Amino acid sequence: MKKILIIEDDKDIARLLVTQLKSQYQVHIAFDAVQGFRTMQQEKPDLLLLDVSVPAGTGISIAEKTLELPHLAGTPFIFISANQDPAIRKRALELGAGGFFNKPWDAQELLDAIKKAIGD
Amino acid sequence: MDSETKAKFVDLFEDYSKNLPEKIQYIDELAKRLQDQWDADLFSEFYRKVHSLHGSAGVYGYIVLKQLADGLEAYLKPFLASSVDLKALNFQKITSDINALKKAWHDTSSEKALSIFLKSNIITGDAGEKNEKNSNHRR
Repeated sequence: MKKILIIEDDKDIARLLVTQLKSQYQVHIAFDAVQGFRTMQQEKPDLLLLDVSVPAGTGISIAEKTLELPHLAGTPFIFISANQDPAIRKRALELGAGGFFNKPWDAQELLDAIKKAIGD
Repeated sequence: MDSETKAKFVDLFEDYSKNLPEKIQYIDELAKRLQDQWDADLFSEFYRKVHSLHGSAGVYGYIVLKQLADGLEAYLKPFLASSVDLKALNFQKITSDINALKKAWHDTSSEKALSIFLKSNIITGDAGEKNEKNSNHRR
């Protein structure tokens, strides 16, 4: 089973994502950027699902840092965000995000983007 | 959708709904504490709680709450920058916005919110078919 790491500080959102994805993927959660990097090193996920706004960093900074690390650089990532700022969406896509979903997202569309990014 | 799957999502919704008044109440308490004594860390927490409500309320089907929290978040966001004069923060507006959040919670039908929540969040497997129909239509 492929692994997804969700970095999302809102526990209600994280629980929902786990419920949506756990039948098809092994799901790990981190509630801030620091915990996210630690879990990333340990679990080597096949995909990152990043909230844009997380404590101790941002989803964008996590993606940027991941791209700089040779052993993690190929990990695909998808953003979810309540932030409507087009500059953030633009930056996310420039970094090579497999998708950018505003909250509330459509679960099926998110799953389709995950499958495409992860190569299922 | 099978009943077991639906039950899991209904449980999530009920947990969220049960805790929602507490979340709004906490935002209210933080605003009052800030009004009594300014503290940058407290403001940061206040902003995060409003941001979190903005994100989660929409996901759980509480659309009016999402819109109101979005408005309050947009008002607060510039004050996160160190260059902005924090004395300009209008607590009358903030209190009014928080009261609107409380009213929206009381006025929202949980059945309607649940219906929106289930529609967006349960994976039915028919989105591919929908996309195919749309692309056929365009052709």
